[in-house]
Amino acid sequence: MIKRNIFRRTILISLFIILFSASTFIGILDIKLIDLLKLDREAWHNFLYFRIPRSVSIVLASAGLAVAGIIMQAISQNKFISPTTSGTISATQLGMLVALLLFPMGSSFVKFGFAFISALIFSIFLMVILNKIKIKNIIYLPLIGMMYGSIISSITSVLAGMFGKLQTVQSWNVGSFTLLVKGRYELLYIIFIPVLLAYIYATKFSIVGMGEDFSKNLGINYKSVILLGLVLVSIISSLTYIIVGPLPFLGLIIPNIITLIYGDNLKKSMIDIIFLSAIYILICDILARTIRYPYEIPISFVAGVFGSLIFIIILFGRVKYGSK
Amino acid sequence: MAQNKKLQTGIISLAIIVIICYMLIKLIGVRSLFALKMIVKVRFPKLLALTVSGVLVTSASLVFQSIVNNRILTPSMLGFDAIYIAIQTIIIFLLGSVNFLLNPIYNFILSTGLMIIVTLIMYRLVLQKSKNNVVILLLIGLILTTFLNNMVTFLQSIMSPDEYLNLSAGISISLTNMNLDLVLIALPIMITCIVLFYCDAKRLEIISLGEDNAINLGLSYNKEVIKHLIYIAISMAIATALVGPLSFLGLIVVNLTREIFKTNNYKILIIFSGLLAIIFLLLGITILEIVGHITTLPVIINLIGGIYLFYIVIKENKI
Repeated sequence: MIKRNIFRRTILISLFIILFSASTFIGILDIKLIDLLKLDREAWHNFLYFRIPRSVSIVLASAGLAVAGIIMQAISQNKFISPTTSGTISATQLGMLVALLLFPMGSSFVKFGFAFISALIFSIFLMVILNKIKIKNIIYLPLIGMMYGSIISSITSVLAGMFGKLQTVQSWNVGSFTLLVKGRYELLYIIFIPVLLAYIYATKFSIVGMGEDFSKNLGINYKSVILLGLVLVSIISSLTYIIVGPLPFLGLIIPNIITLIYGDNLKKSMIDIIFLSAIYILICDILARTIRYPYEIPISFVAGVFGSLIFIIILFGRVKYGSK
Repeated sequence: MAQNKKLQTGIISLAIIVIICYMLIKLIGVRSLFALKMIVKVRFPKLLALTVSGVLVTSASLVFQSIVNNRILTPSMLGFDAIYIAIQTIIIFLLGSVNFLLNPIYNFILSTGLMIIVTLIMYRLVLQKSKNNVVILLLIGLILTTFLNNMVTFLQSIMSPDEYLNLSAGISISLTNMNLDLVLIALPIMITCIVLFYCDAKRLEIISLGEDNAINLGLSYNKEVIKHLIYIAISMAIATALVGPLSFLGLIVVNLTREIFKTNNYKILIIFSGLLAIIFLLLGITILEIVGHITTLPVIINLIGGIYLFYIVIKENKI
């Protein structure tokens, strides 16, 4: 069993390395490996200025979102919850709009602050509500979450409509790695912190996923772990939303695939989740760049198409397994 | 029973008052000939359009809620709004805005037809695959919504600002460029739908008891459910194509009616939720008329409806 896991992980990691290097060599500017080896200045400049930031930010954003998804799924005890299906993304949008209206010239750090606070407040509120109600069918939880998101979105669109910012808000909804050149993506490095914290606390999140009574029996402070989870999720989703935009279904499908294989032990599966999600988004991004070469399709579109297909497959699989 | 009668007359008279208010607002003191023209040419078609779509949306929601046996779901979760917006965006994107504005009737027929076809295909695929599990249908609807929204934002972000303006006029409730002909096409369909629902009221009551009870009572459950889902598809498609997405309206109104009458008599529910829908829509549009058009009607309805929804969920402690 252990051997098999190691085997799987080696495949994942080598696939990741191949795709990562492929991703750094695809683009309109022709950068050849030979030029790099010859230490050609221009080639290195382009490489470091355009390609590396893009590939690195793909890895960071996808890893972050997948981790956010799995934390969300653990603390809400529901496999269908992710930042998109719980209104967190909509809350981020609202925060960004408020930042834009109050500080039109504000840096992305200001935006991040507002988005983070708004995401945190709204997700805490959702958790409080969900704690109060009994849920008959697990599928209703994402439904409630999405409706919650649509309420927040309608607040956003009222505000945006009043100040004539509707198309701006609309444009945030297109996820893209195109503009991430050196100097524009560094904020994403912050994601390291929540991902690392998530890894350290992974066991606690898994325990919390087994329910309040159970985790209290094991001596875990249920509420503070949940709060920590929400803080991490809010940081990750607001950062990726500001810098990259939405990557639909990522936080939903990758954790679901991995937990189908490895079970719910987060400490064991988190590394695989990170690598698999990076591979997935790298593939999507390479496709987005090559389908209509030299033009580019937004990655959120490609990820949306693939994501919805994969999600439907997973859904029917889970339905077959039993829980009606 | 006597109290119910009182409530019924109350709602009917409230509806009449609201209609009169809407007809006369901002026109009192205006020269009578102009006012009359305004009422006949502008207000009356809008009133008809709102009535048709409001009634269709609420009856569809009522039926849908009895099928899924849940008070907080609406058929718009099956993705009607998203399908509608996607169709509009694709039409504008492919044909340009001029064609679109010239032929509202073609647009209406085209989008209604497409919506009905798309939803019927979806029903067929999903219900067959999942053995008539409507909850799965809901989840697929949500996925479809996300997917279509992605596509729409992509297309919207690469279209020119002019086209975008035309589009947002088309997809937000399009009462400003209301076309009387459209209403006249939709009106008979609405009447047919309502009559059908009304005649089926007894069956709907049985469906709302849940699958097992319905089968015990001798109803061919699956057949009935699919039949009603088709009705829902048709009425939602028409309502959405007529005035744009009205997602939460059905939810607010149906719940409010249940709360007021505390009955499971579908004949009463159908009629009075329809009336309440008209009251709601007219009040909304009158308020917008007074405060100036800062936002669109669907957004306000979404906001109020969403908050009301969470109120119900918290109050009842379950979904």
